[in-house]
Amino acid sequence: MDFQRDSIRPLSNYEVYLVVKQIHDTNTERENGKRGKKGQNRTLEHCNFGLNTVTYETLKYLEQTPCVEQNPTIIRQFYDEVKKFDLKKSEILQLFNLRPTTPVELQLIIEDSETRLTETQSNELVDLIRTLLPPLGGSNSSNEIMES
Amino acid sequence: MFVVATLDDTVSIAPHLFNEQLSTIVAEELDRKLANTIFQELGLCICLYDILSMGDCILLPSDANFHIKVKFRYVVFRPNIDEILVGKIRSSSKDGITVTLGFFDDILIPSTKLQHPSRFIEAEQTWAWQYETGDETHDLVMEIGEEIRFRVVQEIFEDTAPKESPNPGASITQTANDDDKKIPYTIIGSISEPGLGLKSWWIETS
Repeated sequence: MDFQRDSIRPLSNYEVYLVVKQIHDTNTERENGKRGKKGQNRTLEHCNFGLNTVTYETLKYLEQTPCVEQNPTIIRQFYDEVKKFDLKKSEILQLFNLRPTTPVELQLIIEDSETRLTETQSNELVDLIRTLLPPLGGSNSSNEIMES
Repeated sequence: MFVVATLDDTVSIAPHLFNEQLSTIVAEELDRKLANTIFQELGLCICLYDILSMGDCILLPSDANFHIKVKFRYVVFRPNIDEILVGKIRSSSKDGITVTLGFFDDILIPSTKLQHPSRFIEAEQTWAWQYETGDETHDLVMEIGEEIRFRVVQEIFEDTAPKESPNPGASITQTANDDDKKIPYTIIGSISEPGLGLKSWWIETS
């Protein structure tokens, strides 16, 4: 087996979440179906423990990240808004994955942020993230607006 | 954090699976082979993304299986160097801190890459950042299970496939021990920057 080095493309946490969630849901469905109809020809061979373990754990991890609240509309809208800051694609991807809401977090993600962004710009970016990207758990959003 | 990579492989299909949908069987075989394994120089394989193309089915003499060439894309955990990740502290020792993401455990933050100055509390077996405010120093303790933000600084791939011993007479116990220690894919992290370390250190309280 071989892989093509130049074929590697980044995926956002949201995209991975969709894939592993689908696998998890299909498994649960199968599981329920199996219980419903006893004696189905579900052999042990159909169980892939490696796949089930890794996708379950990945799902559990991703469920604790803000990506679960995202959808294509939000992503498109945020991406269009954030274009004007002239960020690298890898940096924008990390904004989606980590949803930084403080200037100090932003500095970690954006290389040379002191020279590339003015203070007003970085505050503007933080505001954009706060308004456009929903926080984890949705209900916290009201608290956060109150804080700021 | 995650990438999708294009791979080529030849899959063998056993006769008792002939009556099922070909693409489903191929997908299952690929996942059985790859999911939750480390692919050298690529990363931790998670699950199949999609199948790009399948070649002709080939039969070989005296083999009931058929073989098919597949080109497919796979979801792989492979963080970039310099990427910021959030995990949980799994354990700490004098050498540093190990971090887990749940699905991936082999992340090490060596003692040299902790916040400066940090000290190891022998009695509790935990690390603490000695944070200075004015004249006082506070020990900010890093307990097991706490959420930690770190930067990826290095990745180490090690081939753990069994190798032929250069001198067959060498003691077997020795090589077995060596194999135990080998970790196929290790990520080295760093928290020696403002904003890194426990998430709770950097929550703004304005």
